[in-house]
Amino acid sequence: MIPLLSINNLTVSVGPKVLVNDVSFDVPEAKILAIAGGSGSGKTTIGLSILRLLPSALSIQGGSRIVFEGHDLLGLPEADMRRCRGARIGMVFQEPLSAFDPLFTIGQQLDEVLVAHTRLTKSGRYEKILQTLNEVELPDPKRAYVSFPHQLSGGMRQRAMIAQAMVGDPSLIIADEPTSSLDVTLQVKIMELFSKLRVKKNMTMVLIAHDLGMISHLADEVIICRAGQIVERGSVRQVIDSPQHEYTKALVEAFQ
Amino acid sequence: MIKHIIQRLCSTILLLLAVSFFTFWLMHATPGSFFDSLRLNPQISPETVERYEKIYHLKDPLLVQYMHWVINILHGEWGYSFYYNVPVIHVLGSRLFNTFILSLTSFLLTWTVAIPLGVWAALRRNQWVDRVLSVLSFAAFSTPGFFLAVLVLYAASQWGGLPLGGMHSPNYDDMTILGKVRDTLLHLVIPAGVLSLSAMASLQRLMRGNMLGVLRQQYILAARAKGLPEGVVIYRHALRNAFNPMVTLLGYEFASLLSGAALIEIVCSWPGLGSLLLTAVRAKDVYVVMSSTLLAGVLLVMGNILADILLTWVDPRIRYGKKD
Amino acid sequence: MGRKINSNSRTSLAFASFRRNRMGMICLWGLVILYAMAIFADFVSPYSYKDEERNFSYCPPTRIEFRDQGKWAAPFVYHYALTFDAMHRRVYVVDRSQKYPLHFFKGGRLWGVDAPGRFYWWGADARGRDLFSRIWYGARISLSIGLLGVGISFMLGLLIGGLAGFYGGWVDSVLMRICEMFMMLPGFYLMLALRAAVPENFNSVQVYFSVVVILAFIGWASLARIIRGMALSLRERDFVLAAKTMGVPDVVIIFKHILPQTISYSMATLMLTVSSYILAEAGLSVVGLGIQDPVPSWGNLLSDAMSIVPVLFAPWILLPGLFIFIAVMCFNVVGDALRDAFDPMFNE
Repeated sequence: MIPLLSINNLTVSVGPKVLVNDVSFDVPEAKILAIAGGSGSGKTTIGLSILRLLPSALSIQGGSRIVFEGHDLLGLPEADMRRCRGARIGMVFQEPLSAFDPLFTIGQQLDEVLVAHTRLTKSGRYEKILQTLNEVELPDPKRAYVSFPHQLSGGMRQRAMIAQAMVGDPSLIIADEPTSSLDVTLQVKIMELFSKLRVKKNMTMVLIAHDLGMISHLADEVIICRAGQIVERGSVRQVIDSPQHEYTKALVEAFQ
Repeated sequence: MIKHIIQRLCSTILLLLAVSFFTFWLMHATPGSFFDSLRLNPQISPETVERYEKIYHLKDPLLVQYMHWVINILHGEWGYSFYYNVPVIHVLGSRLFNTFILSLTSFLLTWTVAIPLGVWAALRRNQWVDRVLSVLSFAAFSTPGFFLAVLVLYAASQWGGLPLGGMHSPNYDDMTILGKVRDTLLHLVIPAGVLSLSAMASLQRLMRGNMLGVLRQQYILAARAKGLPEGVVIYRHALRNAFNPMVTLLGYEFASLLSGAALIEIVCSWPGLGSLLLTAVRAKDVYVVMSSTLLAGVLLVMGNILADILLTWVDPRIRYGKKD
Repeated sequence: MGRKINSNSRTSLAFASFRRNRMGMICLWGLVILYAMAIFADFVSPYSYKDEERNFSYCPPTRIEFRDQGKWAAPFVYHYALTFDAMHRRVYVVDRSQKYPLHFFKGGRLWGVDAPGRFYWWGADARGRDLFSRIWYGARISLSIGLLGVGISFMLGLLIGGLAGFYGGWVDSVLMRICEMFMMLPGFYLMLALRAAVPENFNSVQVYFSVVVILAFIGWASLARIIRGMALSLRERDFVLAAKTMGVPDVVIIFKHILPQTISYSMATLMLTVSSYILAEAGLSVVGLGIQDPVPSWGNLLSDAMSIVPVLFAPWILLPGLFIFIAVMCFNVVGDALRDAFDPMFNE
């Protein structure tokens, strides 16, 4: 079974400083792989590298390979990469209030994805967006469509963000700390949503998080990152129940 | 949104009252009553002096005088110009219009040039375009407007092509409507151009700064992550967000343009409120001074209200507020 | 970057960053030179600002000669003779019959020539007064008015902004409304109106201070707003909370802890305000409502140049404008450099 996403020897540096050091891992289809670690571990950098959205100061070193659906993403021309973003790979950001443009409605921002990647008619797009908003369990999809980001509550915004990542029917979702900015009750609800979606849509996901509790509920496999390197990896049960590396042990303890 | 506008209206009325009272107090605080010097002026009949003393209750305490002045203004009695020897209103009308078109033209010129330049500079950050614009901007807003006007007039006198001041050519009255418009526009070139220059410079830098700030935002990264074409990312998302806060500046910008216009008017002999005020101040023509200052304030208020309406219309966060 | 630096080292970090900014340092030195020349105007100018010679109205610049009939000589000048051309217009012709050696350190001045020679290094104005001298005496006025005006505005701004930021709530609302009103005023109009209130019999010193007050009046509001913003963010900081829990009275907190912080951060704004005040004074003076003749200020030196005709045959009268430009530009560049130096993002 070829993994959907395969990261090989990824090294990212800014000037002389190395942020991600020779990282390799696979993400099998329909599985959720979590990248765990504290701040500065390089996990967000790995996520952004997959989409090739790193700030210009950072550079991916030659010798790195990111293979997605059989293509080496790092070798793709920019135009093809753009076709990939949003349509084949979707991203959920941590803070939905800052990840949505405050001047456009939710509907307009989801519509952009479909305009850029599909040939659906206006009504076709509208239907698709409503359907997606429904799937993320927004109570009133039509109202959400015409709402501005600041008009929604935090939980609804995050659902809308997930919808935005999903609306293009991507085969891979990268979620960067999707619940970190929410309060505890909302975190639980979003986690439940992810569980349901995962089953319903057979989602493959890269979950970037520092909360081992959430990871143990959602993810199948986990890699533990520290200072740009993988210190431990394995199935979630394995790593969390019997951590080997001291850093993993510290992380696990912090979340008991 | 309506509530917001009403609030603004109230504070601007307060502003006008404050400014006018202050100016009023100043004019009357100077030793030597204006009317004393008027009585000595042979050109003004004693009856006129009597009449105005009555209307303005000049024997009463200051506050009462001020109230009467305000009431008179609202009734259309704007006072008498002792320098021009006619009621103030006759002098103000055309001057107001002239200042308005000068300010408006500069305003339009400034914003249509500075915004694109600012965006361009931000997108080409630290490349030669950006650096050149940066230097030019500094030079532009460091140059005193009146000085630049003189330099430009000097250049124009050597190279010809543009009228050297004033608002109309001598044969204005004989021109067709189109000719008149064209003539006025030609006369506007130097004053409006010079006036715009320093405003353009600071606005361009501001736009550049805003643009750079917006480009660092998470929603720009998110837009790229959605696979949107770069043009959409920059011109639909970044530009609008960078431009929005500038709308709050519209009011202040208009204010400073109006203010700067006064001096340029004087240098370029543009017959507006500014040059009127200058003559009035020199001649201690008190009611003209008061009225001009008040009118400038009114123009300002109009500009501000317009700016406020634009702002509430353009930013959904203010327009719709929090609902859920 | 998340590193916790205490406020003092942040300030010194900012100054270090400023020192690295080449343009900023150049302009800072430029200002130092300008102010030095202004302070020593008595010394560097060959003439007093009042020294007239009406026969030599708009006399062209005097050239310093180093060669006398092909041989190197100690510097000297020729004088101009006034003649009239065929159309009875004044023409100045160099009179080579008489040499006037340039002497140094005579009479408390750096340089000059003996009468009846005149050393118009940068030309003469309408009344035959040396422009070079008048520019440096004028520098005293133009450069000091800006500083004084900013000093007053700053104090006002500190008071009002500090109070508004520190207390917040309705105090803040009211004070900020007032500030906004002041910021919305049409500055030049207000300046003119204020100037009209200044009695005519004021002597030049009184006029000077009136202009200072007028400038301060129109400019304090934007300073106050900036200070208030800073005070608002500062009052949440640990050292303020610590002082409060120790029972330090509010007044002391404001003056001893918060305000000193704001000074370093507001220096950038101060520089920019000085430049706008210099421009404002020039604007007032050029229309004859600022500093009055014979006291020179760069603005009133330019009032001759406001009509095209003198400029055409005596272009040197535009020089004061160049100095206004240089001074204002230097303040702007230094202010901008300071702002960049204090901006945490810029330094990363």
